[in-house]
Amino acid sequence: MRSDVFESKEILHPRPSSIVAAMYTMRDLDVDLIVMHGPPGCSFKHGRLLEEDGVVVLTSAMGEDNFVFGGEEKLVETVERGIEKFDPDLVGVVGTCASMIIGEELRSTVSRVDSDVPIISVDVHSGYRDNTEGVIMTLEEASRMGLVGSDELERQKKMLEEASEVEKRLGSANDEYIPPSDGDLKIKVAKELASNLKEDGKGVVVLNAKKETSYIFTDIMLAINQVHREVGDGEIVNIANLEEGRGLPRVRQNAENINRELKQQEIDIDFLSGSLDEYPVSGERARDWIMENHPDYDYLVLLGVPHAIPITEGRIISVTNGPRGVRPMKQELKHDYVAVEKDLHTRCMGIREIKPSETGETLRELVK
Amino acid sequence: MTVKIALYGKGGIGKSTIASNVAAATAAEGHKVTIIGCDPKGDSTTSLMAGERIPSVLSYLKEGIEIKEEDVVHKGYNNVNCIEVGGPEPGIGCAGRGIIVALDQVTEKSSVVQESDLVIFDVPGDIVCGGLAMPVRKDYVDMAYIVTSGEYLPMYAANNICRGLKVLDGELGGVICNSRIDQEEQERKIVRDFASQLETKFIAYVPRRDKVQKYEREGKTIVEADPNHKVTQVYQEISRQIMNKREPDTPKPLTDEELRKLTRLD
Repeated sequence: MRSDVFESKEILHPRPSSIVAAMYTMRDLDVDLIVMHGPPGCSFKHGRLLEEDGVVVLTSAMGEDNFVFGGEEKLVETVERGIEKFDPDLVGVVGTCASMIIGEELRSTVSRVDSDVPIISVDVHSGYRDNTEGVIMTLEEASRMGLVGSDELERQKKMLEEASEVEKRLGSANDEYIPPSDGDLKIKVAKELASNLKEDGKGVVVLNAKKETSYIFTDIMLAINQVHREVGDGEIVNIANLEEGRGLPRVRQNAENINRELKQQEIDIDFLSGSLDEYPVSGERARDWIMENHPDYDYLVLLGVPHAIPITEGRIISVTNGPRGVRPMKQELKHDYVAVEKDLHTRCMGIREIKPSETGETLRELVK
Repeated sequence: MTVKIALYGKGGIGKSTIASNVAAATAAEGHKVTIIGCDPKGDSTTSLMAGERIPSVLSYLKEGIEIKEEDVVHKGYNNVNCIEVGGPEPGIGCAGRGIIVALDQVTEKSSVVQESDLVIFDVPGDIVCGGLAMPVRKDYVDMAYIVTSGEYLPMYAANNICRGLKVLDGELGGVICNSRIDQEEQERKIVRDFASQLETKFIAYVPRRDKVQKYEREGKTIVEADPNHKVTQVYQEISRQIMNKREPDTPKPLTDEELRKLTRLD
């Protein structure tokens, strides 16, 4: 049987690493303080983003001396300092390429930390082909510590496998160079949306968003429904992966927050396709439900991770946050319009309520 | 012109003994010699330093002290410049990275390498990672010399080193046999044939004599302690060959089958 330990990696585009994936998973587990065991520059951008999302991120700041002599003492000091200063309830420690290559072992090292605060430690580096490895490693450690049940762990693993497959098929984990694109102009997309809404047809809006990105993608669904109320003549069907009660604590909270707001806005979701961490499979569920209940749709609006919704028939307007997703969506999935919500991930850090999207705001402005 | 060589070979095969004796013998001929021990244990130069361990380059860097030449270059027997790279405790950190950092520092802070007639890098074990291969890879050395006995495992390691050199575009000066088995003539023939099949030079056969270890325990090389001993003469011969060798060889590694056949004792 072929081992995948040293599998060849046919990826051309730099992309978020397993380290970063581990850190976001820690955030979803409600970790308050993350310490990265590595050089200070490692994953700094995501470290900052996580801080905007309420997680303190520190580094053991390994230098040349630590590469040679090891940096375990420095890690212990940094964790102790962080605990003293920020008084966290749950701490996460992640490895980096530097610390892992020289053979540092995190679990035994953090056992020397003088504190009773539970610490999730993940021996992770960024050389894995699928960055979901970082998520799985974190969840397995959390499960070992009793923070995640075995059923939830298995469900998450299944979702992550599916997510990796989706990304390999049409996402950034692709071995061909895909140029980033800004997609169609928002005004052009908004005009198309408005035009469809004014007609006496049936539109299906599918929110298939990944975790916190839903705070912005939901705004597009909201804008479509608001505009439909004002000028629409036809029918709008809403599908969303906003099921509550599944996933890690932060993910559940996100769904609850959004559903509360949608209720306040009197927006009904006709079909819940899954939870916010089920975007790799909820797209398929949405497709099946549409085909069974509304095969006569006139147009589709796909939001979030549109390339995980396997529909190519009919008029399709999609909105993504992946600049490299534009070309495959247009060429392979035959989407008529693809808009890109740029820097969306950065914009949705630290928010707990639906936030205006460029596409949604353009549509509202257009029909004022 | 500085002759810069590295000694590679299986751990425990006697590289440090050969390095310090060749350094002593070459210095005795009036040459300026520098020996750079790259083993984290920092024990390559003790026989040249009257049994004393010298502070390593990395021990200063670990304390955050900027090194000066006089801190890390110590005069040993016959004014041989002795430098120890040092390194982490076993099982911690990365010794290979340590060699990279230390050699960069030594060449930046000291001119002994350029001013020497012979520089010997005593490298630990086989070439197992980029750091340990660094003297060859970064052109710190002109030629590598392999130390082996006639036993199968040291020769297997030696053969692997040749594979490593080939990959790294490193060049080979020859093979030195450091005797480990009782059948001296057979061992000499095995290693001579090995060198021949590698298409490199058989430099010398160093016989096993208890006196070498005895003097090492006293903190001396046999070259220093017994200048007329037969083994001293062998080291003098190795020194002459190294100093006169100008054209390196590109080794042609053997197959494992060839190697096993070669090491079979009758």
